Amino acid sequence: MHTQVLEKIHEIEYTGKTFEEELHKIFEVQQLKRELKDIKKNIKDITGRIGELNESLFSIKNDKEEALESLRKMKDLFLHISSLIAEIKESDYLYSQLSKEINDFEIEASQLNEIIRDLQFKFVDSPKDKELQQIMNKINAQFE
Amino acid sequence: MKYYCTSYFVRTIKTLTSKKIFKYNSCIKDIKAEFASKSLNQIIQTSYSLFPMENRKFSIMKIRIKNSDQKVGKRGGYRLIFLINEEKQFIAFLFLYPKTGRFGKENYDNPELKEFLNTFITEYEGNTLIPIDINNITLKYFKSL
Repeated sequence: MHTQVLEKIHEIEYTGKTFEEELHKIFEVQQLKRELKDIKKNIKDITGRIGELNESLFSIKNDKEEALESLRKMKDLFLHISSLIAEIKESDYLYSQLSKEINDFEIEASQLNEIIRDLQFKFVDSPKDKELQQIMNKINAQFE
Repeated sequence: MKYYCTSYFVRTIKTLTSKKIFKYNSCIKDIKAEFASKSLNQIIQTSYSLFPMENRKFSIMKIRIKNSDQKVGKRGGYRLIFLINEEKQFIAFLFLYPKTGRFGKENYDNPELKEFLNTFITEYEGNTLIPIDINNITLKYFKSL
């Protein structure tokens, strides 16, 4: 009889423990869901801000001094964005949950990269490129 | 305003529109919407000069054009590289590339740009630049070339 009671207690204890573990798992999942929601919100927020930055950058595209001043900071920002995207993509689970947000984020990041490359070409590379200067001079000469 | 394009540009259009599944078939319609009935100043304002105009009559410009087939707006749409001469009211389309899709590319590179420009020089000298009626431009016209 005593053994039967002990077995029942043990059984209840075991079931209780299993139940508690299950509950913890649920709590963990809920916590993860909340965290994912926050991450989604943050990515959307950063995407919006980069979008606004890109629009502002379009207006300085013809201003050499301002463009050169911003170029280094823009490059640093782009590197940070790229490593963040790479980190998220490394986790299959995280990426599957955030794919839409990351896609929008990547579009804005690509836009930023395009502006950086255009500014770099216009104000840094092309003035040093003798071949390109010659080609442009030739085109101009044709229309004299 | 006079519009022209190079054979390189025509080849690009033919490649992009070779299959409907690529979703670039409205590219000519989208280019027309961006340029038709616009003054030179309006075009300059909405474009970006890739090469400073200082003391030069010509400038290399880049413009963002929407891709109505992929519904991606201007950001994920096309980039058109063209030459512009304000004094002569002259525009020559050199190259078009999509940002997204089958032929999507991030950017042009310097050797490519030189190639577009050299093609322009050769075809201008040989009087073989292709004239474009921007207000009535159609894909059929490019396919027939």
